[in-house]
Amino acid sequence: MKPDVIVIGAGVIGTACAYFLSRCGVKVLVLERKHLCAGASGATASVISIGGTSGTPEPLQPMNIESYRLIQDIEPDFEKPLEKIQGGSLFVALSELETEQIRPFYEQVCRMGVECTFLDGTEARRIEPLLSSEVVAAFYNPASFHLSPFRLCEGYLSAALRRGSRVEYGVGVRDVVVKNGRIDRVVTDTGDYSAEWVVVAAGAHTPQILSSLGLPIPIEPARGQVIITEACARMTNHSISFLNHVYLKQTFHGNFYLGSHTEFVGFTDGITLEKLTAYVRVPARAMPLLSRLRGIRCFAGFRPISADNLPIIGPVPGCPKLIIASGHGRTGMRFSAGTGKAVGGLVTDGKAETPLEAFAADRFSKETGNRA
Amino acid sequence: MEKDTDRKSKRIDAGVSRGKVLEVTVDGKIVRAYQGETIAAVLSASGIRAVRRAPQHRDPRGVYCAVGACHGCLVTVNGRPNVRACVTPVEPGQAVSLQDGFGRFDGGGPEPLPGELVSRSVPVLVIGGGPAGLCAALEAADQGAEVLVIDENPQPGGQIYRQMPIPFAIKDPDDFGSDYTAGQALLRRAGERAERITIWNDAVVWGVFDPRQVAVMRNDRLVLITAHAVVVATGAYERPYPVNGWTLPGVMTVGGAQAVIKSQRIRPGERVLLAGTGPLQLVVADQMLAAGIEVVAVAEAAPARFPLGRLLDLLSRTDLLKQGLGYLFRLRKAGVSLLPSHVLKAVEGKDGVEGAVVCRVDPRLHPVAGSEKRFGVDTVCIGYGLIPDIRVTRMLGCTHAYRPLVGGWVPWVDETMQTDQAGVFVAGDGAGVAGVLVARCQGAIAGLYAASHCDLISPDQAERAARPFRKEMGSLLRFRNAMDRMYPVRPGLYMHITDDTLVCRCEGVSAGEIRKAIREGTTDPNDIKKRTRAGMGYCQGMNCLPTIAAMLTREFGVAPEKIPVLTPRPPSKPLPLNLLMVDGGSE
Repeated sequence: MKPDVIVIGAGVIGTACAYFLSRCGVKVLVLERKHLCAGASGATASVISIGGTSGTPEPLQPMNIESYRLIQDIEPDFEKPLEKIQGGSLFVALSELETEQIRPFYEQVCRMGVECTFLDGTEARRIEPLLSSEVVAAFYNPASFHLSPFRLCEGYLSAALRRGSRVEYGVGVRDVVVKNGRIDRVVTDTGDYSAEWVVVAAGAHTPQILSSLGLPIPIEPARGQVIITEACARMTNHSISFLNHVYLKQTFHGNFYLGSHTEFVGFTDGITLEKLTAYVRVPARAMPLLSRLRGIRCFAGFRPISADNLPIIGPVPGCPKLIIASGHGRTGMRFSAGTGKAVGGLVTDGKAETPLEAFAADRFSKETGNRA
Repeated sequence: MEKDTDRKSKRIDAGVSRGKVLEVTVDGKIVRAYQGETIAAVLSASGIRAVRRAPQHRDPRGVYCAVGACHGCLVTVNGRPNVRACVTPVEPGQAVSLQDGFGRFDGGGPEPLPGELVSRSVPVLVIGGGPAGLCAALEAADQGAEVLVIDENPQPGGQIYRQMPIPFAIKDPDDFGSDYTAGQALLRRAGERAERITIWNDAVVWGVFDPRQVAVMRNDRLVLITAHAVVVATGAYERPYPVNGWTLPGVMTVGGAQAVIKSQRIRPGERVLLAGTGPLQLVVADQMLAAGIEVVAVAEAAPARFPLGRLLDLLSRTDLLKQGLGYLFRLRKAGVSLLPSHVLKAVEGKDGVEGAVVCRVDPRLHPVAGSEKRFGVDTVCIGYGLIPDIRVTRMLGCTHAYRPLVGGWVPWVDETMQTDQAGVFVAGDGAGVAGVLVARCQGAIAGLYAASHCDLISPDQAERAARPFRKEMGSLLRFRNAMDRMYPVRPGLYMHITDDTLVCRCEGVSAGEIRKAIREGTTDPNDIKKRTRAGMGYCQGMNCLPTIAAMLTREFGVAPEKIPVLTPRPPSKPLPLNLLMVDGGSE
């Protein structure tokens, strides 16, 4: 049976697209090179918030608010709970200089209408007693929560499968061939596929898959490294972040999760001692108890960072049924539902409820790219 | 609770004088212990088998692997949670408490100090101080190489040459068998070469970083070692064989039971059933009889039929053949039920083992209906073969091949024991399970070629010196190959895994959950792990991935060599985070 839509990639964006499409009665085939959340979606703290910690560019703000609500609204549709930990997020400063660096992010989130507070060190320790005296200020966003990225992807996907969609693993897409403005075929390692619509949600691999189009798709992989500790009794419900995108959280299952995604090293996979030590040292200064724990595993993933820090969501110029949904940077989990819903709207109604102009796929081919 | 007088002492006193008496507390009660004993030995001697309740299902757990690999016996020591009882020695005044669920880290006390990062470079680095590693070190040192041996245990020797704790005084070494004396002799030789061979005990290799820096944790230091030649001799670990009840206190690996008897001089139980395949369980059953333990039955998966077709191969080592027949003779004489073509079906009990059920299998490993036999025992030893420990060779980037007869995935090596990574050699069970005698030969060959790789001798000189080891290895491998064919471990063995059977001991993941994930379309253990958490715990899949692979093959028809292995990532062993709080890294 020929699917209506082929979605390339079973990360959080691909599975969310499959989910929202299938809710509109569309038959989706998801093609995945490796397996469920094998890329960036498998190596993330998955903090869901309005505003985030390191700022949300204005064009993304409406989708942020929509996505935050959607993720909570659709959870009952999933077979398994999302393993949410509701406790708010703290963006902490370890020096006066850092205090001034995080303040603009706080002000921006306030402007989005989110109730959050800027705390001094003592107030921060009242909210999170595990913080040390090295914490001099914190921006507290009480409505943030975190969840299991695997459960979110699995939830989207299995709900889509339940509605008649399909998934094939181990299918590496090499090319999407376009003829006369229409999709001719999807070329993969294991043969050709065809569908009227194609959604490319391959994260940092998207430019490679669409290279034959000759369209500039400036998405670079940013390597992230994460270290997971042994599990222990619940110590904190907060997700805590630091400058340079370093973060920590204690998962639903009790393991601590420390890491960051900042290295532009291409697709060079691997764990470096330099980053491991950095991603432990900063959190352990703020939360000394971490030094008692043991790390049990590290992993790496590649975040798709676009040139203007905005995702690409929309059709390829000249081929309205080939849609890109990639380049979400460090915010894929947070924007997954909004992106999925927008793509669902594009396929079924020809338009999305959320404005997508700023995310247009052709913005990098124009002479003056609109930088956020 | 049982009174002390109701029970025969768990301590085996024959042949050894223990160290000084000391006192520790267990959940506040004073318990007598001897210097040199592990916390697990003391708990066992004081009648405590359920060491903890696992966090996920609150089910009781005991000492399972007994060698520090499974992380099943975690206790809290002086306020520090999740300490492995089986490898942690007692100290006077130590406060041990048993854990119910997760350990708590907010118990107070000072935070550990940040670690220190140091770099070192050595000509020859040997990872693992068992027979293969020590023989490699000796041969390389004899050729003039300076060698650093890294070993996880307080004393080198590995599993087979495991020594008794230093405070124990041995009355007559001959009481402990030929492996013990051979091990002592090898350790003595290494000790005599102290000017060239440095041995780091209690040191753990946990990662490899570019450019081929081997990361070791030792005391409060992270040491990055650059070596001209590396010999990996990390040995093997025991194949998990899950059945219902296999997580109960009283179920041990056969090697774990042996370690407890040999090294700690503790009886793992009173009435024991062994189930598995191959000669190791005969060896251990024999040692149990000598230690005064009642061995009720030995269930052997292979048929009893003497393989006439392999007679010539077996006769290539009449010494080993005679040894094996000797075990069988003694076990029979002691009235042990020897059950060929039988496998373990389930372990029964509530807070610990109360019984075991075995059943007969036909030559194609199908269970024979109505053939179940139940034995009332307090201990079950599981021994379905060994799996090469390839974590270090994988982190070193070596190419591996799937060779089921020698335990599964093994690094590819040439005739000099060198892998496809220049200067990286492997020896011993980590290169394919073949036992101590082969390990010694391979270690010697690897050591000679490591010296040659360092230009201390020419390849021709290395080859001449390697000749006697190759000759010895030839007949050993012929014998071993015949044995491996007699005692194959096949996915068909994994027939008694019900949906309720726990497959991942660390995370408490059942076979039913894993089957569901597979039915939902995944055959990649990396994906199964993300969906079910199987493999996410302390042992990082050592004790569940082989089972998941067997289930994929037996139940879902996936060819074993097509099943991806988990991506190799540091730390291969749990790493205290304070060691990573070193200066130097950038954000």
